[in-house]
Amino acid sequence: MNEILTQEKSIYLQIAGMIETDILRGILLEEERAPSTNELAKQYAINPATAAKGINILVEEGVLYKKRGIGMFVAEGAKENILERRRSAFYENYVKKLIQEARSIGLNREEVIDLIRRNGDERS
Amino acid sequence: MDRAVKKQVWERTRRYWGQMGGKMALQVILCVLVYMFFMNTSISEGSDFFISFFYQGMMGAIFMVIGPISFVNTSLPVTMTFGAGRKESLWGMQLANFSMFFLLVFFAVCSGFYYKGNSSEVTTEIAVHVLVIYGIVLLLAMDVGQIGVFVSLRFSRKGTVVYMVGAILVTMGVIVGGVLWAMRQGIGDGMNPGILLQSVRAAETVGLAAAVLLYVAGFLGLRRSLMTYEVGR
Amino acid sequence: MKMSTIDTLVCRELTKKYKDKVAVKNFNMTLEKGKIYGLIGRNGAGKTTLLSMLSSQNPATAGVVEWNGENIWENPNALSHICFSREINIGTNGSGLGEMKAKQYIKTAAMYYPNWNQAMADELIEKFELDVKKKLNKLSKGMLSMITIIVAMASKADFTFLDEPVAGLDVVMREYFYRLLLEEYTRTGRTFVISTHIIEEASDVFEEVIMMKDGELLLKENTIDLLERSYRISGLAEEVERMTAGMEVHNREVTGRSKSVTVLLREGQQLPRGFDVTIQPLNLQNVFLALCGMGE
Repeated sequence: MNEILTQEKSIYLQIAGMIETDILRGILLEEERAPSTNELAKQYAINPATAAKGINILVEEGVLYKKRGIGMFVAEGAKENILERRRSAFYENYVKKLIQEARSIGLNREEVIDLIRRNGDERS
Repeated sequence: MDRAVKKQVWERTRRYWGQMGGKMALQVILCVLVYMFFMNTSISEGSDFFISFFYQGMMGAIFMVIGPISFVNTSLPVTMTFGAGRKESLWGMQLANFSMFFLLVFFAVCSGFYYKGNSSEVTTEIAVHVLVIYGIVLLLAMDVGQIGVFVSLRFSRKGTVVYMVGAILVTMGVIVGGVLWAMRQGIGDGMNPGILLQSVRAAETVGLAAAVLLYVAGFLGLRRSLMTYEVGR
Repeated sequence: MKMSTIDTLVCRELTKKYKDKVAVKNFNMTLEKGKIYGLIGRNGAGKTTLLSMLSSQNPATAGVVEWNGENIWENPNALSHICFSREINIGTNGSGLGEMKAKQYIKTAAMYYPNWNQAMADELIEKFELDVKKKLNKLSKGMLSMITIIVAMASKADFTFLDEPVAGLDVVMREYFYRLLLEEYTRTGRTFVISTHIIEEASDVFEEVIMMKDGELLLKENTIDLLERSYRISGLAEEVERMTAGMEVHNREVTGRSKSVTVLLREGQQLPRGFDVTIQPLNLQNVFLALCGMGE
């Protein structure tokens, strides 16, 4: 979570993304308390309203839930939740761009698939 | 809520502007004390009395004319930056001026008793008249100073400097001229006391009337300028 | 539907005319309690004049400023909730001000602000390592900025304005200021309006941004909302033109066959898909330049 903020995406989306990544990495476990709006605002020197927006996204997605009077907590099954959403978004966020780029440099589908296989070979 | 606010406004006005008047009066009194400490005359028994008042009148008048300029440069922009109102500032300046006035008059009375005690030449009637003239001179100087503030707010810096220099010269001229005139009338020289008394009374009346008129004129002008005053310009 | 006036500072048709120019024109705005606003605009856009009028330090030529529905003019009650800690300018205010000691300046502030917190002032004086015994004309620009920050914070006013508060401060002190601001804001919910030239550094701190141009209100909007509707579109000129037809377009740049524009989507508008262009998100500084840069 101690990453720095970049200019590419809206701040609050980055905040939400960072918390999700922390959950995936086991830095934040289920039923543990998530950082509060004020803590996030302080840590990243951003307006609390922005931090709140990021947290709200996670609440809407069911990744965090609110315990009245105490704060935000990581929901049960949050990890699965995040993984599933990221898998669904994988096509939109990565594959589409891959195809677009491949098209613009003149690679056809077979060549792209070959490259993907090669990555698989190198790793194993 | 309203009364608490009014109280707070009065408190801060009293503290800030009252202190200002007191500080300025203290400066004059210090100058006078230093001078009186070194003063060593023996022209005649009663001359210390007159010389001290002459000096007090001079110093007091000069400070009352120049002092308020600091209102424009410092006090006004600073207090208004911190939320002071315009009418509040107007009355604050009056408080400063009159505090200074009353402190100087009080000191003058004390010094009067001190010097009169050392001399038999100075009768009570003479002492009272000298004190009254001193007070009127201070009031006139205060008015000149107030008009100076108005001029400074309304006109450019050059205009203000011209006014201030002119005001000081005129003030000193009036005081010196008044003293010379009094000497020519021969105070304590056995001139016809009746005529002398008449002239003095006339001078006092004219002076007081002028002081009141100039005060009102200056006050109204100052009020108008304060309503359009802009901090930072 | 009339908006509640509780805890608001409103200006209506606020105007300031001088002989040679109109500094602020028909300004209409509502400042709410509990927000940090960023006021951005070029030099001479009228930011200082606006803040001066909002705090009664400069009388308006026309229009009113109301705090909780009360006109603030000559209203000590309303003014006790407002603090405009303006730049300490030795030059124009005459030599008298420069001769004043920092301690005296702060002490006078303490006298005038009813909710003044001396403990906070002392703490900040120490943190900033400020020598308060020095005269104002012996202090650097950065230290003068520190004094204005101390006054603003310790005033504990509901509506606090700062005009270029970080002028003269190095990057470490600037970062400290933003953190201090957020901490005080989080703790008290005071409203702050900060005008600044260093836009990008401060933009994360602003919940809403107020953009001023030539004395007028250009826009007042939630920062995130503004950024989410602003994009830089570039590609083949005809392609870009086709895509952005009917949109609010700024800052057109043409180089050879390529064209680049900044678009601001209007309410309900979406970016059309299927065009072969590069779409880039923008930061606040980019948007400001697009709207207020040369030639706009």
